[in-house]
Amino acid sequence: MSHELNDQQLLSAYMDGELTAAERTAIESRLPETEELRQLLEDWRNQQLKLQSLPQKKLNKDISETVLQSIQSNQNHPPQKEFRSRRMLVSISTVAALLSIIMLLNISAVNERLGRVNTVQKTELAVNIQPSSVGKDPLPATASMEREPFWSSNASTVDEDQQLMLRQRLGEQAQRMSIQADQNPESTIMALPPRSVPYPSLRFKIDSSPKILFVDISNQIEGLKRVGEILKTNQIQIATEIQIDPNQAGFPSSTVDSDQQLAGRRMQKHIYETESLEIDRPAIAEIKSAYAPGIEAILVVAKKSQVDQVIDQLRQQAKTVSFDEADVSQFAKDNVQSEVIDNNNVAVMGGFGGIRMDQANQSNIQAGEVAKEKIGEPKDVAQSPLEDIGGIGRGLRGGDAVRNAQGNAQGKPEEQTGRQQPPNEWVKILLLIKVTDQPDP
Amino acid sequence: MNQSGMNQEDQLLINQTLDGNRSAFGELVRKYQDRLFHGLFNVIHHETETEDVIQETFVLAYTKLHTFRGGSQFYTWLYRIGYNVAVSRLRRQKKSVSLHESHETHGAEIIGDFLAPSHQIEQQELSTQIQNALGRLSIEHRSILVLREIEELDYEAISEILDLPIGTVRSRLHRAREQLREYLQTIDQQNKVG
Repeated sequence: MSHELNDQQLLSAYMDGELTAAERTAIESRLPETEELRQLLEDWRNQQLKLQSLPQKKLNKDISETVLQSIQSNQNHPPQKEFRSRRMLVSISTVAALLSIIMLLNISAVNERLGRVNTVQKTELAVNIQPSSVGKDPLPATASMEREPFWSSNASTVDEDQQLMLRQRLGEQAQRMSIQADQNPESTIMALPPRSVPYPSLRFKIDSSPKILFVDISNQIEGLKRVGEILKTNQIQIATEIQIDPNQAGFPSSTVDSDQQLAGRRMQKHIYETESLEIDRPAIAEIKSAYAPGIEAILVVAKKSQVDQVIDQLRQQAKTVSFDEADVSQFAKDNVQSEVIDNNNVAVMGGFGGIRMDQANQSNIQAGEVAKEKIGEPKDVAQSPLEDIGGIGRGLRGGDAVRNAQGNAQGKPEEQTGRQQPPNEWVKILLLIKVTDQPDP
Repeated sequence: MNQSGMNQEDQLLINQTLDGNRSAFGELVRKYQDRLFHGLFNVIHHETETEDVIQETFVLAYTKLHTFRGGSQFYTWLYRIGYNVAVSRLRRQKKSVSLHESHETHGAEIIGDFLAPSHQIEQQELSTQIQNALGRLSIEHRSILVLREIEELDYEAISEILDLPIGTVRSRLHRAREQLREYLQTIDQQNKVG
């Protein structure tokens, strides 16, 4: 394999978070010096986004009845009956074979062994025709069929649930380390500066006014996507992007997972220092100074349920922010369209989530590796084929983002929601808030 | 985050089915039919055909349910059955109609389903382009891209579904991405010329 091809394969796996630490180091050392690789990575990420934005196809009917009828009409036996029949067949043929062999043995041995065989036959059949036995334990308890604990060194797979469990565990560790890193400037796991965590679809080069401070308090990936489209359409430049953790800002949210918090915390650092939404004049000045001196407006992305609270807080606390309801109303009317999230949007959201978290991935990895060194790595993780899983290695997957967002939408923990259709209430609202340096009279 | 609930729910439904409760299997069908449909539609590119595959998949899953070991997610196991059904059908069809031709023939139907209010026109065009490019890929390349980029499965799960070593998953995925990139660039250039 040529060097170039090898690099490209590594890059492809790098994008998926499927490299070993050594491979990752190798490709990361090549990236800064190779424009071609960087371009390739961007192209692949863009096409990944396109694939993930394909509309969610679904059956518009329940096929369970058809399937069950087909099973019935084809006389497909229930699985346990098939199993029982097979077991009985095996037992009988085994006995028959044994009896054949017995016929070749001397008579004294036959008499002796026949008794044993008959006993075996009766026992075997008796066991197999016991309904309770069939129903309760349809799987034969052989070594090959027994479930192995996933942390066993012989386990061949780690399923999604197990991944999530491990991801959570490692994510929490990584998060602790990340917080420590944020608080310690001497740390080797320095948080990435916010500007280095761009969202690809929000990375616009159009130089026009007004410059907008983009604040996302919704933690909803789809909101980011929509904002990107709106700004692109209107050729509005993003001055910077800031996420505010809804929990920290006082907004209830039960489904912000550790990955989201971890990635968001680096971007939120500045906001924490300015106490979230308590945007007073010094805070505005600080934000402007730190992010974009030319900021002329603040764009807030919030969930519908958060809007009133946002407005109240801004009105009460943001003394230097004038809030023009007419502007907001017009902006929403022109651009937001109060979209209902449908499957199409969910697909987009999921894809965007994957990419978004991927951008924050490196610091996750670093934090996680330090965490593993210091805290110690559980045996199950070390032996699993997913050394660099989830919260540490891969960031949040699109599918998880979908589930989380749906969980938010339904007010349920994400693990209970699966891929259900989100309700119509899951609507994000954009607020455009003009920023002025003039204090209120 | 505890996802064990989902798994337990599946396991319960599987156990109930194995106990002879068919309606429990109906629950599993309802739970996964849309997700499976979406995943396989992007491989098959034909709505009716995908629906047939889904039905066949569930029937097969029912008869093989006792072999499900629980070592992987139920959906992964189900998808593997569905993928094999789809691939055998596609290979049979390939003798008479190429996938690309098939996709082109049914393009209007697919796009029609995607159509939404006018503000989504850009999205439709994007979808059409990506569907066209996907349709030009080989079954192997299309499948692995769908599993990774749309189903968002990791290499381990992809390896299990496609019955490939991890190394092959990695190299094939790279080739598939490159192939798709070339097709998308070609389509883009054609659009500019057109």
